Amino acid sequence: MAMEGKCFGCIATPILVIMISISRAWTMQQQHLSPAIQQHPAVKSLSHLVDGNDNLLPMVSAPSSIDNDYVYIASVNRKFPQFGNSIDDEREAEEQPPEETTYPPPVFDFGMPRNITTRTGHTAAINCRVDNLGDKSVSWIRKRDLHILTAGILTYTSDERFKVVRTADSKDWTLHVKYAQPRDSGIYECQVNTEPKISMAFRLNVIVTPPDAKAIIAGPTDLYVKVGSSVTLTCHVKQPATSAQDIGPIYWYRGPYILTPFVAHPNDAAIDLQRISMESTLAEKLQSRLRIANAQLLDTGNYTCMPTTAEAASVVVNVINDESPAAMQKSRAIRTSGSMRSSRLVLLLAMVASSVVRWLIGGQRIGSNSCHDSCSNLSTLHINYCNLRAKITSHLKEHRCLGPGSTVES
Amino acid sequence: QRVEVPAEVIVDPKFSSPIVNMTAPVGRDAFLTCVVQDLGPYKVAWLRVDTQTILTIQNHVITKNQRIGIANSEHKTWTMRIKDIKESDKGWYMCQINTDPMKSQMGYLDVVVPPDILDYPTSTDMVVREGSNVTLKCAATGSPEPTITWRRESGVPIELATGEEVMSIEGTDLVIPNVRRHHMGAYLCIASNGVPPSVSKRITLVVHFPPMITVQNQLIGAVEGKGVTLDCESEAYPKSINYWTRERGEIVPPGGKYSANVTEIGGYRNSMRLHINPLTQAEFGSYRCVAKNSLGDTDGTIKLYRIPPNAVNYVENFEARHKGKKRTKSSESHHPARAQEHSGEDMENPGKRKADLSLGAESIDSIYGNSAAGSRRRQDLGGVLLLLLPVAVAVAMSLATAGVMRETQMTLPPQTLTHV
Repeated sequence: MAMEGKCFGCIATPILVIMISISRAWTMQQQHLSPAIQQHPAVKSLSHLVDGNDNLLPMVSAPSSIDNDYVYIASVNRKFPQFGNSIDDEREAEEQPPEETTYPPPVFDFGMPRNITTRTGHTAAINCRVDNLGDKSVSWIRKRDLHILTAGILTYTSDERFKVVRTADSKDWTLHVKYAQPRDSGIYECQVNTEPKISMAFRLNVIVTPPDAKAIIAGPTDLYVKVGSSVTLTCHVKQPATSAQDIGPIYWYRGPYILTPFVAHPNDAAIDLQRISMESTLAEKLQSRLRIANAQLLDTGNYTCMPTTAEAASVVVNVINDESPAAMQKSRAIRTSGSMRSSRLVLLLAMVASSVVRWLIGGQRIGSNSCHDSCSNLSTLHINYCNLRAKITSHLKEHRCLGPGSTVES
Repeated sequence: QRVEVPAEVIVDPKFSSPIVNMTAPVGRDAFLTCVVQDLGPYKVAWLRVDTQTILTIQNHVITKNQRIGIANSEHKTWTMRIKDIKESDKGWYMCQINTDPMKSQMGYLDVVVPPDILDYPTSTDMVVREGSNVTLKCAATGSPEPTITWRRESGVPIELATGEEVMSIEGTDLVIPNVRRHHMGAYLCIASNGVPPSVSKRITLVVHFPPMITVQNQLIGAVEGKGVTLDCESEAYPKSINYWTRERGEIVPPGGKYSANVTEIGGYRNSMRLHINPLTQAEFGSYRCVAKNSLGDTDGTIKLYRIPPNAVNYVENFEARHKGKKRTKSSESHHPARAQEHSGEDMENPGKRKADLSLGAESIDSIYGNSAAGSRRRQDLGGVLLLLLPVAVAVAMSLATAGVMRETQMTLPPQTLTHV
């Protein structure tokens, strides 16, 4: 009987330790998953940001190539322009000649904002995103009078305030309305020339804002920070109560480029979106905060806070170099990954070693008691077994493997 | 960077004339023409107003609809062509010039469709019983909606319910109450909507009725040794079987001195003739002409009596002798009265039909069950693997720990003895 008791104790304890370890690991995994899920709604809300547009800031000059292209296309000097041939030439440049393949049908990205609000005199940007465009083309028309605005990358309307900007992958077709006027408010349709056509309608609201509505960035207008430090820009929007109904999103720009973590701009490869975060409060208090972690030399620039319904504000951020930026960046990455791995291994080894040591101590005591052959020692053996179990419980608690109210059951 | 151009050089374009609306049948090509004056550097575009679709811009076809084409003459006449037009192409089209503000005008394309008679619910050939009511139906499609006209074939007039007769009547339904045998024939349903060709459908109306017999001469006298012809007329549809019998019911045998034939007079009318030559004493008596078809049978009676041969030799005294015989033999005057016509009874044989509708039960394929079983098996395998892993690890750990414990036991006993 005594020997059987010893054997049971030998087998039971290791099983318990292993089971507890497995459950602990499982719990940690679950905890790791939940933050990702929680971030998903944030992704949705942030995806409503509109893609950036050029020539937005009067103080900054836009890339000249775009302007020249636009003027050339819309030039009234040309006589009898070969409109059809132009489209054909552009298509040949865009992609290889079609080999009579069957294209998958184009699909709209329904995540684009369908209700755009802008202020009088500013440029409105309506983004239409199409996947699987294939051999089709995208056109913009104004629903009010069926006026054709653009077809492909060419502008049809004589109103030179309208133009379309296309991304390199031919997915984003953004209609720009410069110097927007209240009469430009209405429904605009992005149309793909499938048979029958597919289209998506957008509503543009051009509002007149009072002159005292403006944005203010806290702090000095010239900011100097060291390389590696973090920068926080806070933008407050002052606005009369009468125009609170037309509140729109608050955008951040660095120079002519919009800063958004979720829409990659092809001309903007220099922006390290992983180090930039934004949060906006559009309740009673209109406020937006831009954070730049681990500032680098390339973060130097003119930062602009652009509310939808108020005047913009800008500050200049200057990043000063004290160390070599490349070495610092690499060393930090290595440190982070190394520390994570080593901490996990240390934790695992500690748990295993502790359990083995505790078990050896308990085993000795049981061995010493087994020398008594008299029947009266049976009760003593039982008491020692209870004591052993209590020690195991306290050991597990020290390593936080159990909750405060749980106990080990034999 | 805009280049300034003198205002006098560019004239504002305008439309020289409105777009002429067009009407065309399905399958043809349609053309809408937009005439522009002083176009200059501006561009002309065509749109479909109903669907707000861009069709063409200048000389370029934007839509992927292969049936759309564009042509222009000296940048003045911009003609949009739609090949093989369909009914869905009907609607308004806009011609647009990209001036600021934009100028536009619209034209309408009307697509007409020739008439076509629908197989349902248009009536097919009908077989009805005389006396019943009949409604012939005719339905047709087309654009504009076609007009239905009924006529009878070969110029036969249509008898209306009021008894009036007309050559044609309009309407999708032609109602003939209390159908008679003369209504039998072919009717034409004609659909027309002004777009050629008009179409027609022929519907045959068949009227069934039991036989009827008419006897013009019920009493015939003949001289023995000469020949004689008995004549009956019958009407029946479906066509009847006709034959002759004597007063006792025996059928007159064909051949010999008897010869019988049936001649069709009209659609449902026949003439029966029995020729007897020569006459002997045995042939005198009563004869019956009988007609039978699936709806019934009827007969007529003809009395054949003997005239003395000497009456024929004295033509001059024929009348006097005939009159004299009548006066002297008063008993014979009652004999002709016995010869009366027996009208046949109408026998109706209604056809009995039993329509057995049997519905076979369809077995439902249990795909869902199969897929569920498959998924369950996979889950079980996964579960077993998950359970086995910790057990294996536990066994290994317990074996290692047991080894350590044995060493401990061997070292402890001597110390214990000393303590006691």
